[in-house]
Amino acid sequence: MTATELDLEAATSEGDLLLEVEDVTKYFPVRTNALIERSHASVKAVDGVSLALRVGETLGVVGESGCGKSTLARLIAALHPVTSGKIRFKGQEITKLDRRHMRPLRRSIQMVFQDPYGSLNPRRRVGSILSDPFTVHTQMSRAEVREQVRDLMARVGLSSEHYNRFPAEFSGGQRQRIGIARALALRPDLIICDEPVSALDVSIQAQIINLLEDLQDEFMLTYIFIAHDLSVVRHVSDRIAVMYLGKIVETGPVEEIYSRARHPYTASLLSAVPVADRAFKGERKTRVILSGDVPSPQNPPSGCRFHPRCPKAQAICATEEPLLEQKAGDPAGHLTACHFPVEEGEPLAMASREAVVATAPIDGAQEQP
Amino acid sequence: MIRLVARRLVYLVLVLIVITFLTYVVFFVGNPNDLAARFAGRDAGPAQIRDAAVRLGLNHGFWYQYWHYLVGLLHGSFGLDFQNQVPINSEIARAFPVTASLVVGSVVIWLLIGIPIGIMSATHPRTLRDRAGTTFALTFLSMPTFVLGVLFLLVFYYYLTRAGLSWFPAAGYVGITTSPGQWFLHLILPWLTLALVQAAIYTRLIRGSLLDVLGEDYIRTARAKGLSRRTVIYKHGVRAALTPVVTQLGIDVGTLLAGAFVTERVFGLPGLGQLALNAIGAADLPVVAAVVVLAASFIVIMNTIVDIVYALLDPRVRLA
Amino acid sequence: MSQGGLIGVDVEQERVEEKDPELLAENKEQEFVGRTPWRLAWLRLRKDKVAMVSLGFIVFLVLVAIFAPLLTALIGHGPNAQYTTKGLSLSGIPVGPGQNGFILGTDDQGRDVLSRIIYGSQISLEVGIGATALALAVGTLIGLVAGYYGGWIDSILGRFMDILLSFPILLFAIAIVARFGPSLELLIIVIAMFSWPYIGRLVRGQVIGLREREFVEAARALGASDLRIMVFDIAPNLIALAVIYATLLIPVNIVLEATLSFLGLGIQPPTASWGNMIAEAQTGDLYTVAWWFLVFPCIALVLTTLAFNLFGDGLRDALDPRRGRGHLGTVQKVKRAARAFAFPSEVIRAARSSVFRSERERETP
Ligand SMILES: Nc1ncnc2c1ncn2[C@@H]1O[C@H](COP(=O)(O)OP(=O)(O)OP(=O)(O)O)[C@@H](O)[C@H]1O
Ligand code: SF4
Ligand SMILES: [Mg+2]
Repeated sequence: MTATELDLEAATSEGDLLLEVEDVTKYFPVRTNALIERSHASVKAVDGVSLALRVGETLGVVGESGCGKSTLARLIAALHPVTSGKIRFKGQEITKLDRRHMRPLRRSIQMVFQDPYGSLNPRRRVGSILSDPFTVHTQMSRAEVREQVRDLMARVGLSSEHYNRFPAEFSGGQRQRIGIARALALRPDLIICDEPVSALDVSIQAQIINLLEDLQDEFMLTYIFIAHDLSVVRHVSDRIAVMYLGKIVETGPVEEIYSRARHPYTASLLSAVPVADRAFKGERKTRVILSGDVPSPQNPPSGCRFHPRCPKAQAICATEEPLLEQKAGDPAGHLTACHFPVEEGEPLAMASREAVVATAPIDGAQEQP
Repeated sequence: MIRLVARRLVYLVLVLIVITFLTYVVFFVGNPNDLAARFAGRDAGPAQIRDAAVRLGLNHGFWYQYWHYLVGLLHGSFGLDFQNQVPINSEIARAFPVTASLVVGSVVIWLLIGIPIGIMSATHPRTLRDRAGTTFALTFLSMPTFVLGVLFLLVFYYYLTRAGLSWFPAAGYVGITTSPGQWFLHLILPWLTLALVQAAIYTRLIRGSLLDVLGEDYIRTARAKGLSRRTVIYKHGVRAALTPVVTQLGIDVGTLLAGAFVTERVFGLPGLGQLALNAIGAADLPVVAAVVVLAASFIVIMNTIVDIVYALLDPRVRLA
Repeated sequence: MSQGGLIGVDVEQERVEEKDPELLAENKEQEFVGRTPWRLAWLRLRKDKVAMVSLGFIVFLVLVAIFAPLLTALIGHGPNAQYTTKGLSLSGIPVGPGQNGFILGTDDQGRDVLSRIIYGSQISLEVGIGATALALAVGTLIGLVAGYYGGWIDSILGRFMDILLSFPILLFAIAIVARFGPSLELLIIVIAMFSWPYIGRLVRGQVIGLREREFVEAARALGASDLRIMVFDIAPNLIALAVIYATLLIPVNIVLEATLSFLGLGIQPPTASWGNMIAEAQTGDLYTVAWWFLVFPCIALVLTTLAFNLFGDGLRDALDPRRGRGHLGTVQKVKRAARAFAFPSEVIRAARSSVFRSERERETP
């Protein structure tokens, strides 16, 4: 059984399948000089990811910076062509659609971007930015568009006085509301939120998350919610997928992951979650600090990509890539890609780096020129 | 290194093809018989015009002439000029030393002025000395070359001579082999004209890049290691700051070698610029094309040299 | 900004502005409101005395050019009228400044130098602004397309601009003017023809940066067409750059016109242009005893170049607050403005060296 099938079978919530991602990869050529130079090396930003999503569900995607979360989001939003693999939306394959056929689908898949400063054109007024979705996709008159934009602004908690202002005249939280309004404008089915709150103050994060949750209930939205730490996604997600260097290493229902993480990487991420958040669970008191930098996705380590940093790594980890599969004792839907999954209550101390290197001679981590 | 030179050669050939082609197009738009008529003489009849056309090779079609020209270039020959039917190569051989004298001399002067002032401004930012350097730059940067040249002639030649101080000769040129002293005297004002404007630019260039370099980490580290201020500035700072200067110098020398038109015109120097201006006035197509070819070649060649020097100056850059 | 690193314009300035204490103080009551990019720039510019004086001079010059007929009527001397009795001494020497009602004196043909300078300003501005506008239009368009599409389109357009930039510009301009006969329109076209690649390269560099910005991605996610993205999302972010470089290209083009006219290939006498006034003065020997009809056109030219350069630099600082911020005294402003003097050549240099820089970058791993 492939990972996707397992995943689909395991999807807990009922309802129709909205999105299926099947073994998708994205390689960025490192040298992109057209005409003369041909690309040799490539960055394997997303490397064989599969997942599925049902209507009304929220999938949290977590992982360190550079692990390919945004790239995955862009692939699903069809902003980048995939290198290989399939993406189906409502049963229709969208990876091979040309521009013209893609257009109607753009209405259904929208994105909220990571950087509330970068995602709004600094030289355009908010009213004009928010009228884009309507002018691109509908034949509404100017007055109608204006009306719609004002509605939209009210919906996300902006005053209609803000209509003629430039993005620079707003705070970060307000800007992210504008970004959400833009994504919401055409009433999409799926909104991909790429770290929508990580650039914001903690006090404002909660407001934005609440807004997103309200909107989900009101418009039956499906979310992919990306974050680089587990504490944020926990509140909003039904299921979680943990990414490491372009691959999903563990996925499962949110409480499963929080209470019984099986992958050493997930476990170490969890141990980094602030104590207050984790205290009531009464688990893992030792904090696992990962040594070394994230290896380059251009030249990922052999076997299990986590092995140069993994406290549990053994010789086999450097040679054989673990499959993303259901481990003994786990409920359906909880999949882990690890040869030696963490057992319940097992202390996860960081093995000495020398030991790791000794057992795993092929270390791609530091080989960047 | 070899790859770089090879690639530049390809590029040079491309540039030469494009610009010689454009030169020919510019001259052939309209009726090529115009050209023949001009060289046949004032009251030439149709027969004489036809003769002139045959003599100048204008009776062939455009493509044939252009091709003929390219083949000539390949053999290192610029052909004969239209006016006197003399080999252009020899005309260029006569004019080039003039332009070269002008350019080489002024390069020396502008570096001698520009580099020290630039270094001084950068090492004493926001002081009186810096301000003096800035004022110098300000004065000369706002002057078009011909304005400066004309004013120089007025003040240093006419006024001084009238005041009884004939330090500088009138406009004109004397070959270095004829009389080195006269050669030098005749070139002082043209050198200064060209050099002052350039020196001003180099002052700013060096000041800017040296300030940047001195702010960099490795310079601070060097200072922290206890090296003296002098050592740091001159051994590390200036060396790195010179990189953009070298780049610029290559471009400037390349451009100027093909003719410092304005300076040559103002001071009546029979260099390549004058040659080209006269040829253009006389619609002497092959001569114009020859200077155009030289100019583009100088620009590309100088840039290639710059890249090689660049690699030597800055060991971080390795040429493929 | 890889292109023209000497003179980068930052498109991400808004973030910086939030921390600008000077401006926060201005808008104490409402921290964010009213801080449109242009208003902010104007606030900064207004404080820059050097730039404001230069702007004043430019406005003055434009008015002079527009009302040239009126002004010369007031003076009472037409630009081409030869006052052989009133304007020349018996031995044919021009009348000096302030004598016989000639404010700046007369030239060797007994014409009023001031009237000619006034009419010359028309030519300078027409050519300077006209050629710049044309260059800006072409350069922006081509730079936009090359930068936005990248790939082979960029390679071809980029190479094309490179080749134009390795041209002996002046020589070629001269050849074209000589072939087709000098005229104002041709002068504008020829100058524009050789100055657009500078703009093109700078715009291209800027667009390459903008293309990767999230707001462009957001527009693509909405399904906006390439044309729409270029016009509505990228172009508005190029305006600041375009305004700055236009201001700084105008003096370059004015000098180019004057130079061509000086070489006898621009505006033909008797129509007055500063360049041909200087050339005409220099052909005879009379200017050695009557300096004014050589020197005043020189001064007009230099002051105009100066004003545009200073204003352009002020504009650059105003639109790009990251370059040198904080409270500067006037002395420092002057000094900083002086840095910009290198500008005309700076643009050209930046663009030119980038021709080869792009290749150099390819060479280094
Ligand atoms: N357009 C691109 N061209 C080349 N490489 C890219 C491109 N976009 C992303 N990458 C590379 O792909 C890898 C994954 O990047 P991605 O932006 O998806 O990471 P991320 O998980 O979103 O990180 P962050 O948390 O910092 O946003 C990185 O190594 C990045 O350098
Ligand atoms: S497979 Fe080995 S290296 Fe990878 S996470 Fe599991 S134990 Fe660690
Ligand atoms: Mg990201």
